[in-house]
Amino acid sequence: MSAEGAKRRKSGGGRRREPEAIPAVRVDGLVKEYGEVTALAEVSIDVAAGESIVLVGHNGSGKSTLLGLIAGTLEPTDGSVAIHGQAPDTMAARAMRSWLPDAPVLYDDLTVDEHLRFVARLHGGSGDEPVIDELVERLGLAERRDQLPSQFSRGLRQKTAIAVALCRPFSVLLVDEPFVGLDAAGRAAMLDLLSEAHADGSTVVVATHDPAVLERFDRGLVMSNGELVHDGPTTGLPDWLGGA
Amino acid sequence: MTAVAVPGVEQTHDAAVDLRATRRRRRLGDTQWGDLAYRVYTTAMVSFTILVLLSGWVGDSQVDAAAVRSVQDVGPAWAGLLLAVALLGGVRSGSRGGPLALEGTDVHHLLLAPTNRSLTLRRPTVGVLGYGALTGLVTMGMVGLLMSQRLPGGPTAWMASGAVFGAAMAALALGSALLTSSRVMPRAVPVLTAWVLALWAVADVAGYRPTAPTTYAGRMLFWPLGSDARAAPLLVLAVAAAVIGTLVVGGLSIEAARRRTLLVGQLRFAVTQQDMRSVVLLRRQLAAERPRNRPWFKVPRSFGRRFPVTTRDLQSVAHWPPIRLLRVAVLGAGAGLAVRGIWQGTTPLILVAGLAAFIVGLDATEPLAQDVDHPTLVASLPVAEGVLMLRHLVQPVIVALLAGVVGLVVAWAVDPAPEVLRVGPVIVVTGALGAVASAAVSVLYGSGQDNSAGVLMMPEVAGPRLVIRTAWPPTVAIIGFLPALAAARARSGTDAVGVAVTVGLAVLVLVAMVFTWVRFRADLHRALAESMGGATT
Repeated sequence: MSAEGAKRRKSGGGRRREPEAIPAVRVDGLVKEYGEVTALAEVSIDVAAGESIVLVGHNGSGKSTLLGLIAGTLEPTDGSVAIHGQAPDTMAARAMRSWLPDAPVLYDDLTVDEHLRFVARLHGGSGDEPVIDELVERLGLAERRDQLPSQFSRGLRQKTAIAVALCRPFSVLLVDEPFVGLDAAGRAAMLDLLSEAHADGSTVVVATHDPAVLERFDRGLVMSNGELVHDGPTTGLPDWLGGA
Repeated sequence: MTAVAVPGVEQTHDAAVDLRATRRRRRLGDTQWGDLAYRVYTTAMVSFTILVLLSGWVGDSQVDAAAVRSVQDVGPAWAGLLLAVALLGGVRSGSRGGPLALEGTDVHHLLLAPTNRSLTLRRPTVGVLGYGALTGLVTMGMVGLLMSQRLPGGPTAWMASGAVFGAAMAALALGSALLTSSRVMPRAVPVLTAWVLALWAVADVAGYRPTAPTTYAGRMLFWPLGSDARAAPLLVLAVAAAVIGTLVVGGLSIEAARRRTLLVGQLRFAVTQQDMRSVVLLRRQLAAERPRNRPWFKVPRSFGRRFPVTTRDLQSVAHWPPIRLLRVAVLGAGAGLAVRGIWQGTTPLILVAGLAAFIVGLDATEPLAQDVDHPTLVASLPVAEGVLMLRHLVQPVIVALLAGVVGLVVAWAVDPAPEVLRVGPVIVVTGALGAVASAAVSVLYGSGQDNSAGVLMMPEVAGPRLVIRTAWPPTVAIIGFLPALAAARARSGTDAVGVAVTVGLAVLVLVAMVFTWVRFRADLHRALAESMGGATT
């Protein structure tokens, strides 16, 4: 973990690794149906605190649905989700979980800086944390922090969304397709930030199609047609991506 | 466990308030005050014009004592039905995540943050309630003013009773929507309650003994004719629903709020563009109405080879979800009951019948609309565009005729008179054809080909054109029920069936003209573009 990363964690809200009995994320018999379509069919997963997970599978395999259910933006048809033992809609779960969806969700009329400060404050910060300056710097947004993301390219909007997701305290980080639209520098920065969050004790769950990053994670899950078809080491995951 | 402290409610609320204040300041800075003033001016002018026109239509001669008694007997039931329909609309909106239409960014950043959601949503909730109550107050206050022209009692008293009734009705509907969306009780409870009250109110209007709670509440609108304390609970219920709904709004479904977020903006835009087809489509998505995987029926392959377009359209119907089939059947039944009302002398019900048929037509012409949305695909097909569009109208005619048969059966069940079966089939045919013609006009008017023509028009031409474009499609559907009106007027003297057939033939001429326009519309546009030296496609 870098020195900057350590500094950021401290200012970000005092997260630390402790002995863990309850999983950071528990998914139990989760089912999600849209009318007659079953997007997720009885998926059960336990993710230990501090674990990093990569979620792979073809389009329509159920990755985003699973992440949406853990993030609390979707409601299960059956089964349950718990974040450190808390229901996903509770204040405690919302405080612990940071969710970075595949499409950036940003206000049209707030600048990069205002986004970061307001989101930090919504999560109990002062809005003046050093982590904000650090993220802006590392993601190459320093020159643009007083500009509106609505006028940015897709890649810059994605970088802003990443900064917004990481500028607040969290212990569970959920990320859906983080590398879409990013240039090489942005991609490298994103990978470093994910590694630092993991090294600092946060649980990281990332859904991606990018085979080049799979082995950076502790554990790999493969989804196919709404079912979990593989749960184990990340070695060999590229084969699953080719044939799942 | 990796610890993350839950921030204090006050702290997060202050952040949410500051965020909104910053955005509001920025929006105010960007406001085009001249445009805003012009919009206020035009809204005021249009409202005033409508009021003057309605005032002239209502007249100002006082009605006699018998008519006053009739109003006292029948009026509360109709007001109660209006209240019940508003309540049902509110509950249905609440069951789909309404009445709030939050921005996606607010859902993501404010509601997924550890904030007190009810507190965070209080301001927009109060805004929606306030706007709704004000709209109800002004609208029903104006209705009260119009009623004062014919009924005893001063205009102030009528306006006051109308305003109070309108505000209470809006507060009750919106409060019920909030209670439903907040999930403080199983969704089935408010939905079933609202349906029972609505059907009860319909029974009261149909002439049964006035027993519905909404009928008693409706007496509030008629207080100048005699106050009734049994109407007062409406005020208590409206205030209670609004206050409790505001306090518990945080229980709303994030999934429903997100879906609503995505669709309500588009829906509003479609409404401002008078794009009825998009409005219907987006409402379907808002209600999470998805096609069935397994078709209700299969179209024979031999039929498919001979009639590919009709087959594709029938396959669309075969995948309709049950709720859509039910809606078309209910609309058909509603049109049938409205025609029965016309037969009994309530002429304005022709509007209800026409609008119900128009919506049936829009539902049935979905495959046509999909082809209109994909002009490049249509241009690549080895068939003239007009011929293709015309072939798309076969299935909607079948669906509209079936809906008409439902209406006929319902009308006959309510009033099993021989005239219903003699005149009814004529009205089923003209009503169904009118419905399809109206929907075709609406869908094709909304296409780029027809829209682009208005871009360079002068405002004096573009304004009336817009009015005609908006009003013409439903008018065609209403014209489809003119045979019912003519037969009702003629039944005391001339042969009602003969009159209905004669007027029906005139309706068929209009429908034939619309279908001809559908067939040759693309050719006309192309010829016009060529004559003006423009590019052709």
